[in-house]
Amino acid sequence: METSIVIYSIVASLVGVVIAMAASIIPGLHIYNVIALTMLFAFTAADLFTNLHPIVLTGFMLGMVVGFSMLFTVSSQYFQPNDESFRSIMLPHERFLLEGRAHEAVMLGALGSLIAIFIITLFFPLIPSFFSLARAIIQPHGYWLVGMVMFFILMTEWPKDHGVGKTGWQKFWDGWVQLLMGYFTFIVAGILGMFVFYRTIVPVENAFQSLMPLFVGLFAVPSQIMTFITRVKVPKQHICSSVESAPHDVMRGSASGFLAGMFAALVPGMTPGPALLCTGHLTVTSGERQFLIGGGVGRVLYYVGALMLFFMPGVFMRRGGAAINISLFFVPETPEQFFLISGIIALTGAVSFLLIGWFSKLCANLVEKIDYNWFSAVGCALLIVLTIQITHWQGFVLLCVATALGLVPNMWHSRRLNLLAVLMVPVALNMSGAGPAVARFFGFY
Amino acid sequence: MNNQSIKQMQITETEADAASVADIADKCPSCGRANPERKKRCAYCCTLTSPRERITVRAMNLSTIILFAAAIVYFAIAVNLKPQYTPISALGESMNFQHVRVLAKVRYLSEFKDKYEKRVTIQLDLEDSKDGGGDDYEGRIKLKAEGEVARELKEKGLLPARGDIIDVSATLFAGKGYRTLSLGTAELLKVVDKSSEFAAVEADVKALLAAPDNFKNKKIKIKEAVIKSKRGNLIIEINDPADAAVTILVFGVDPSKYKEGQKVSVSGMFVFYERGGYWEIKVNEDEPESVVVLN
Repeated sequence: METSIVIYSIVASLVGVVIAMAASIIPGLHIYNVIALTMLFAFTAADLFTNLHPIVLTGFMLGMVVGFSMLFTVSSQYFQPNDESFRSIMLPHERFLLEGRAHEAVMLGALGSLIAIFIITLFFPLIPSFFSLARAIIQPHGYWLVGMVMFFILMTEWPKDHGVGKTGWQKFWDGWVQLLMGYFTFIVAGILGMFVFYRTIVPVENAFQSLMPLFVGLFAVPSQIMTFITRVKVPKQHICSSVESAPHDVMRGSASGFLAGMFAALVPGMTPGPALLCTGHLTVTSGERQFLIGGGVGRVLYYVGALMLFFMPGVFMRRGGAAINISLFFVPETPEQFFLISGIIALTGAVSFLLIGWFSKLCANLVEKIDYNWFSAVGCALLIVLTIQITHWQGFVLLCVATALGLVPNMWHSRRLNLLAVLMVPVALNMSGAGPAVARFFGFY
Repeated sequence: MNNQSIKQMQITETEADAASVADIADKCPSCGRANPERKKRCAYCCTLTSPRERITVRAMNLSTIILFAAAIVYFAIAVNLKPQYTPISALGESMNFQHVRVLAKVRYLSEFKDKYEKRVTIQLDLEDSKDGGGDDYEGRIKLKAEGEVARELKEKGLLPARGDIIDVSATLFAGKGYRTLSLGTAELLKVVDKSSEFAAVEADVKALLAAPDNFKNKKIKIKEAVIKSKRGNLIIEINDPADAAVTILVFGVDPSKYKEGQKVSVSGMFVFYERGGYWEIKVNEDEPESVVVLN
């Protein structure tokens, strides 16, 4: 491979990291949305890129994905506190923030991310045949694996308030309302997913971004709305120089995150959230530190590890939004390209890790000076504009429907994980071959 | 265990306790709140305050050196990796759908369009660069570049010429009785050696006909000639600018593109047409500068 191509790719990947960091300051803005915008720009301004080797643009996108997967939780950590009513379902991130140690939470997640980058760059290149084998084994069983995870999500929904009503019926309702709303969310999200998979209303030229309004509506916008109406005072944050983490926390958190990341990377329709739920039980993960480390490992393995499999000679597995977008203009074919990609992941992973501490300090300063509600308002507006820009008014309609559904878990304190049925239900049904029949039943096909 | 050793052990444990108390910070290292009683756990956030259970950010930052080193190694491999070429004769049905890298010589190059004249396909006839492939089927294969890839090859000037040695990475489609390579990206085709055997020899019409055997089956370039007449759908007759009586036929040209009396330069193979019993220049209009109008 020519040295100039390698140098251009390195520079492009570092620019990608910087852009990912800039995008990460807005909580809820997903890098796949930024990639979609980049693709739109690359296609409309194709003349600018004609003399550029496609691997340079690939390096740019890879830099964005690596940077984002390591940095995007930082702003959510600082700018998305929840109020007391969420105490029973509060994730460690929020607890750490309200105790003034958000920086420690960030660094624990970053430790997990760093471990994942080590696994991807130093371990993955040694075992390409494992991935070919794993794919061959998993492919025919994907539908029931996803089905079992869905079943597990439904089984593990639980009532978080305990019958505070005065009469028997009120107590009964209080006990069941969260379970029922959880199941309601799951079913409606599944039907919405089937609709978009079989009869999307997004214009055909942007149909490959059909899922974008759904994810923005189900997850990002409701989070922004809830944060916007939250009136919690964020205490002064302490910038620690070390994190509490015993060796067994690192080992167990990494094991849980590794299994979750691999599961999500290899099984279609799976994301790190539900995968972590399963592998956390499998590895008997307990405690906030293990959760945070496991989350970091799983997230990076899913976003970056799955993307690396796309470039691995003999595997060439296209999983995740980034790989699908890159495959529109670049087909990886040679071992040199794989080594270049491995180098870019190692480099951008190291640079992103070094940026995390600085970025976390920046966010800790910002949250003291600027009302976090403004970040939510700006983020929300930006996401809506981006969605309309990419998927037109039809996408906006989908976004509104998804937002209404996405608010249900926030209003009734059921789990947001149920919303992932939007992806898991259609993927599992299609893999099993029952997708068209179910779509026909609903009149979508 | 005697009394002395028990006493010694007790002293050691007391020293260890004292040491661990000394380790405990005045402030909680996680939340930064004061810990005046130097307790092992923070009263506010329950964090262990002993440094033994903690990993420093500095240590984590230092570990990235390994990643930087790995990145340098990978980049060096990417630049220096010697390509693994597969001989054309080894491309078989068992390798169907595989991405292969081939070092080959271009025998022919052709271009055609689909019936709606929209989708362009460029086809290269390749042969094993080492042994020349000969006439045996095993040593030859066709490489197809279709649609957007074909367009890019032409627009970026990446198309090879006959006789060029190319390095190409492509997908093999092989079954019973057929083998084809399909090019996925224009950049995966590179000319590694420009043909010398097909390099054009400069000559004029008079010199060609004076000693035709010297130029037989060679690629020649006539820098200047005049179109004397047009014949049928594929032939033009050119003459020497200094002597209109000395003429030669050029085969493979669309005469409707040219006018009689135009000055042209012509590049093509100088061959003897045995059925007609005359010498001619055979050109391929797909090749750049096969016939160039000078005035």
